[in-house]
Parts: sequence; C-alpha cells; structure tokens
Amino acid sequence: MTGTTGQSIENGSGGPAPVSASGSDVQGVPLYRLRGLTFRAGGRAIVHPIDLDVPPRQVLALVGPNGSGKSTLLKMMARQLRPSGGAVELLGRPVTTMSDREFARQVAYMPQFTPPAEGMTVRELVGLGRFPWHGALGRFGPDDAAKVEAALVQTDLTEMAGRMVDSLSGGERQRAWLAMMVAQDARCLLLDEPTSALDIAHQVEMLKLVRKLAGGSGVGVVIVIHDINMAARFSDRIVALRRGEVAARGAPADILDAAVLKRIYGLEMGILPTAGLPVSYVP
Amino acid sequence: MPANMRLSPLAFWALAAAAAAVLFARAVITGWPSAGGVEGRLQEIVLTHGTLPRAATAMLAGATLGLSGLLLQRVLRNPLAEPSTLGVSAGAQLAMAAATIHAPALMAFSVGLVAFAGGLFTVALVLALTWKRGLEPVSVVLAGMMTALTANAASAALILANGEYLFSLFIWGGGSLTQQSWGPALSLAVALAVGLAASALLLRPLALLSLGDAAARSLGGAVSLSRFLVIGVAVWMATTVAAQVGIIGFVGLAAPALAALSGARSLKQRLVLAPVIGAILLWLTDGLVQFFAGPGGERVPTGAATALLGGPLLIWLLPRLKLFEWPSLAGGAAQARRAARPLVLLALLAALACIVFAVAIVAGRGPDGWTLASGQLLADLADLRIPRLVAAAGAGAMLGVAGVVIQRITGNPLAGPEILGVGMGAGAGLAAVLLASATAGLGWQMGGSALGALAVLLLILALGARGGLGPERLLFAGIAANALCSAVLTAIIALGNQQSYMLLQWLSGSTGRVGASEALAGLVGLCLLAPPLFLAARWLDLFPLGPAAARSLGLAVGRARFLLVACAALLTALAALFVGPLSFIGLIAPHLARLLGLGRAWQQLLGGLLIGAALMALSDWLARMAAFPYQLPIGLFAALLGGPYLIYLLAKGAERHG
Repeated sequence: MTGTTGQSIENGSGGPAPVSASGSDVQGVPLYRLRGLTFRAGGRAIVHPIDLDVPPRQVLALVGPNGSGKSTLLKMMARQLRPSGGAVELLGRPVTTMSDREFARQVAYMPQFTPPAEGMTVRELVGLGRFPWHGALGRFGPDDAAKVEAALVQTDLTEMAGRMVDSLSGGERQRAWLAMMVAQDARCLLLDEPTSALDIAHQVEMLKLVRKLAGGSGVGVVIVIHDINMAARFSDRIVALRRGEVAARGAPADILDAAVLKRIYGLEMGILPTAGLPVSYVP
Repeated sequence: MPANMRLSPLAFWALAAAAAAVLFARAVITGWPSAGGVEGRLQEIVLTHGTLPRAATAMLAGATLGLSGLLLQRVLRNPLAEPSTLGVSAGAQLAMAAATIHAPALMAFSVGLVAFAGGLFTVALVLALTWKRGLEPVSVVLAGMMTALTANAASAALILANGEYLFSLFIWGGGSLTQQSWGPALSLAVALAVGLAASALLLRPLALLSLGDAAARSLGGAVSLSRFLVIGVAVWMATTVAAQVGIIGFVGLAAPALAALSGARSLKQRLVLAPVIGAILLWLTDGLVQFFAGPGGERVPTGAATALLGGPLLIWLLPRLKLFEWPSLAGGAAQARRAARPLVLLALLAALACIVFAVAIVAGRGPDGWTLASGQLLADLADLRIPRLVAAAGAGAMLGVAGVVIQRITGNPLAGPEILGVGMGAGAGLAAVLLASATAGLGWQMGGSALGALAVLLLILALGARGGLGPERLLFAGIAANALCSAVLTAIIALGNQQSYMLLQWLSGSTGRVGASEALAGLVGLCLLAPPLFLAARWLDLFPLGPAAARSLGLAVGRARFLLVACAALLTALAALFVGPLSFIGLIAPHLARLLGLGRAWQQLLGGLLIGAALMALSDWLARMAAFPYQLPIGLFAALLGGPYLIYLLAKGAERHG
C-alpha cells in the first residue's frame, strides 16, 4: 500500500463529493474507515479514490451496474486485493499491520463463487471457521465446538450438520458458508453477491438471516448485491457505485428515487409508492 | 507493448517460412553436386533422395498433423485434442512395436494399416470411456493421456525385453525425418489430399458441430455419423504420419491454436491456415535440427525437437487461449460417503498393508513352482526382497501423500504428480545429472530429480494460478510440461549410450537395481517429508475452499502453498527415482482414500499413504511373479493396475450425474 493515512485523507477530500441526502449516519467508532482507497489495473482506474465508513450493527449494501467496481472495493476491504492507493483502517488500525489470522478474527469474507467443498460435512465446513482462532496446530477446544454449534443453530442448519456439503441445494450451501463465517466470530462480514444464484424465496431467507446477524450479535455487514429493491429492503444504508466512483449514498428511501437511480444505472426507472418502502421498476 | 511494435501474424509466419527456406537452401547448396565422377553422382543421389524428400516430408507431415489436430479439436469441441493427447500416436507406436515382434508379416503387409488399427483402437477406447460424460474435454484428454502413458510404458517394456533389436524403434518414436526415398512423402501427400477433400465436404456439418450436440441436432445435422467420419479421417492422417516418420507431438495441438491466434476466425480460414502453420513449424524445426547437427549425424530426432520448441510455445499460449466453458468437473467426481469410524478403517488399511508386505516377503515362485519361504531360505531371501519391498512401499507411500497434497491444493480431484508432469520433471533433472556424469552417486541423482520436479511443479502452479487453477488450464500446463520433459528424455535416450539405457529403465520404472542403501534413503526421505504434512493437515483442510476463502480464514495462502508444493515435489522426485514417473499411484491412492470415506485431510493423508504403500508393494510383487523368472518393470505394472481403475472411476462418476 502506498501513501500514508494523512495524505490519503487529503486525496479523499479531493475525490468525488458524496451525494448524500441524510449526511453522515455513522454512530460511534466505525468498524472500517476507508480513505482515498483506489484500485488501478493496466493504467486504468477501476476504483477511484473512495472514502467510506462502515458502522457496527448495520447492513451496508454496495450496489451498482456491472463493472462499477463494487466487488473490487469489497475485495480490497477483505485484503484479497492490494489497493493501488489509499488506506484501510479496521477498528482504528491500518489493516496492513495485522497478521493474516489476526485480520481473519475481525473480518469474514464470502467470495462470489463458493467451491462445492467436496467430501466435507456441513459441521466440518463450519468448523473450518475456527481456524483463525486455533491456527494450524492449536487444539480444537470445547469453546470452538460451542461456537460451531451456535453458528449452526443461528443459521438453522443443526439438522443438516451431518450431511455432505456437495449434496446441499444452492440455498442451503450458501447458508452453510454463512454459518462458517458466523463461527469465525468476526466483527465484520463481507459478502460478495451471496444471493446471485438463488431464487427469490431463498434470496429473502438469506438476507433475513444476514439482517438477523447484524441485529443480534452486533456485527457490521457489507454486502454486494444486484437487486436494488432487495438492497433497499434489507439494508440500513446503500452506497451506489458507477464507473468506480460513488454515484450516491444514503438511506434506502433516498436511493429509491427516479433521479438517483438514473444517475446510478443510466436508465429511466419509475418508482411505485407502497405501504412500506417504494419499489423501483423499469417502465 | 505499443500496438505499432507488434508484428502482424501473417508477416510473422512469412518470416518463419523464409527462415525455413533459407535453412533449406543452405542444406541444398552444401549438398549440391560439385565433384565429378562417382563422388558427384553420390552427392546427386543424396540430394534427390535425401535432402529434397526430407523437406517435402517435413512440410507434408506438419500440414497433415495440423489438419488432423484441427479436425479433432473441432469435432470434439476440445482445444486440447490432438493425436498425441488422445493417445492416437502412442497406440500406433505400441501396435507397431507389438507387430514387429509378434507378427512381422503384418508389418510387411502394411505398416500404415497396423498403425491405423492401433490409433483407431486407442481413440475408440478413449471416446467410449468418456462417452457418458458427454465427451467433456478434460475427461477426454485425461483418459487419452492415461491411455497414452500406459501404451508408452508397454512399448518401453517391449523395447527393454527385446533389447537392441527394437532400440531403433525408440529413435523412431522420437520422430526422425531422415529420408532415403520419396515414398513416405508420397504417402503423406495422399493422406493430406484425402484429408483436405474430406474436410471440404464436411465443412458445413463441422461448423454445426461446434455449436454443441443439441444445437447441431436441432439444426438437422446428423451428429453421430459426421462426427465418426471426421474422427476416422483425422486418425488416419495422424497414424499415417506416425507410420511414416514417427511420433511428432505438438504440431497438431499448436498449429490450430496458432491459426486461431493469428486471426483465422472462420472454419474455412482455419482449414487453410492450420495446415500451413503446421508445415512451417515442422519445416523450420527440421531445418534447425539439421543446422545444429554435428558431423556424426543429428543428435536430436525432429519429433523431440518440436516438443522442445512447442512446450514453451504452449506455455506462452496458455494465458492467451480461450478455453471453452464446460460444466465444472468438480460436480462430476464421484461423491463419497463418510466413514462412520475412520480410525477403525485406517487400522484395517494398515493391517491390509502389513499382510501385503508379509506375502511379498514370504511368498514367491521358485524353479519348482510356488513356495512359502521359511527358516534359512527366508533369511537368505529377505536380504534380497526386503530392500526392494521397502523401496517400493516407500515410493508408493510418498506418491500417495504427494497426491493428496496436490489434489487438495488445486482443489482438483484429477490432479496428480504424474498428470501434472512432476514425475517427468524429476526424470529431466535425473537426465541432466546423468548426462553430466554417468557415474553420479545416489545423492546427486536425488538432488537432480528433486530440482526437476520442483521446477515443473512451480511452473505449473504459476501458470495455473492465472486461471484460478481451473482444471482445464492446469491440465494444459501439465501436458506442456510432460511433453517438454519427455522430449528432453527422448532426445537423451536417442543418443543410445549407457545413460540412455539407464534412463529407459527408469522410465519404465524398475526396482531391479535397488539395494539396501537406496531403500534406506527412501525410508529416511519418507520419514523426513511425510510427518510435516500431517502437521499441516489443517492447511490442507482449508485449501479446497479456494484461495479467496482460505485467505479470508487467515491462511497465508502463498507461503503455505509454496511449502506444501515443495514437500510434494520432493516426495514425488524421490519416489520417481525408484519406480519411474508413470505409476498413477499418486492419482489413485488419494481417490481410493476419499471413496472409502476418509474426508478430513489427516485421514486422507494417512489413508493415501497406506493405500499407496500397499498398492506399490503389490505391484512390485506381481511384477516379480507375473513373468517369472523375468522381472517386469514395476512402474508399468502399477500403471496397468491403476490406469483402468481410474478410467472406471471417470465413467462411474458420469453415471451418477447423468
């Protein structure tokens, strides 16, 4: 990573001005502080300098059209990609100073494509979430076992715990991976399109579960998601990217607005008022 | 690189052709009849019956292979298909070797027909085995490679068993283009002309086939018939080349790929460009081989040289090549139940291995038939049998463990030390050491093998990592590495000196020269290298989740992968020193362990170790007993035991998933 934190903040303030309706809605110490985070590949900027705070106990949805840089941003937060510039702070510490396992105790990341994890039972998969705590040689103690059972209960997988992961349906498999992340006992969950392969009923089920986790154990969640209506239903805040820049950010009600959606997707979209949140549609 | 510095592809091929032409002109000018009388007459004969037909043969063989590869790739929708990856060439070679020994009359009748029968048989076998998997490319190539390796091992055994008599066949196997007449060139010209005519006739059905079976059928194509016709023509072309000049790898694979990269988009364009590029490739290679040939004749058969040039070419191509998207292989592997009591199962496996060891030490054939040795006889025989048994079982155990590591790191159930070319890499390293000094000690030999294996494995991982270590790219890199290393080996074996014989013996995997010191070295290696892997079992549990997930769980993926790979490479190299490069034990033992329900990494490691040791001990015993009093190469036996099983596994996996 290049640049010190001080410089990054200057860079960040010079970046694109956030379009916010409700202003800063961060309470207390943020989990994540991104300042001037940039990613370039082949001389082209994929992510322009971005500033972002992720609060605890909230679900933050990253939305945007294909190629807008939302997955790239998430991967930089998960230390899967090395940023080209800017700084990432986790609980006030630069993430570059943390060891792999130290970081994994704080942050759990689910990649967009999860392999079938062949020849493993659900309980074993979930048990792998304890690796950051016991390491390669440490004992898998009663505390670890208890965390695994708790994660299985939370994700309603107890009855399937003995089944093979590759025999599960898509929705159940995603839940098993989520359970592994819960067992990881991290402060922050980063999910890259966890619902993309699921039908609408399983999407809702998955997102409710994520919602419940954020509410119950107080973890912060960042979720990359395509469906703007789903994002609005299940998140506290939405950050919309377009061509690697923040096109809009704010509460769901503020994003579900014809003018804002036009700015994000470059498409005329209509808004239907309903009893709860409005619903966007393509006329 | 700026765009204007790029050479246009056509200009590049024109330049290559010009270079080949210059080399050819040089050969003609040097050989031009200058003297008068008998000597001049002789020079004239060499020119008209040697130099000129040789150039023609090179061009024609290259073009034929290019066309054959293109047809096979098209019809199977498989960018990796070509005569050598489908086992056609190896099958032809085995058929010719067997016919030379057992039915010389057949060879006298028609060499081409024998080769065609062998090639057709292998390709039919490969396709039948993978039919249920919908001829999915990676399975086809895998089955093809296993068939080819088994056929090669059998050919090597035939050559060894018949000594000097067949040694020339091995040089032929390297693809020498030296000519005495226009006959081969004429045969090739006929094959090429028929192939071109057939492709022109089948142009439309071929274009339909590339859309996939369902789409082709819905457009009214007679899928099966045209497919078989095309395959038949392609195999006939390839086996004609094999019969006339020997095995020339890579041209069939590289020419169509290079044609596509040179901008030939439509099938018609590729049908023209692929043979042209194939001709240029082989002509240029042969020109270079002649250019570097010493006064004592050429050192390297042209076929081996093509692989030397083609290997790096393929590795360069790899990231640039678009591979077809197929349903993931991972879904096709047989699902395993979990063992209810893994510890009991492991204890049973250990007991089974001990029984095999005991049988191998005690039971044997003597001049008077089967005997169980005891007392003084046992004590005498033990000195002979125990070192062999220890070396074989140790090598099996090492391969089993290395296979578990490689399959888990790549998350690919079809990866293994043999398929990925690691064993061959060990051979290339060994060859380098032997070449430097024919009397190199065991330590040097081990060091050379280990370095060769490590280099190949790192290269493959570096290449595969770009494609996320997907099975296709990994296999492709493995094929390139395998071909590259075996080209080195073939070239050295073709020298025909003492080292050649040692390498040939190594290639077929012979424990015959193992003594107490070798056995001890193997045992020490196993004891040093295997236990650390058990300590890293948790790492191995995480790797199948994919690098992203493993990293997010706090695993230092790069470092862990390097350490594990280094360990696996050392184990493979050490094992290959005793049992040769093609035993398949490193592929089968982990599979069997998984099928028995040993799912956790430590269970699979231990299971793979025990199964590998037992299988290899069994192979060694069978190799000693099967043709008593002669001893067959153990590597061959293990391949014959393992290859069919693995192929059965492939077919079985397909049934489950329809």
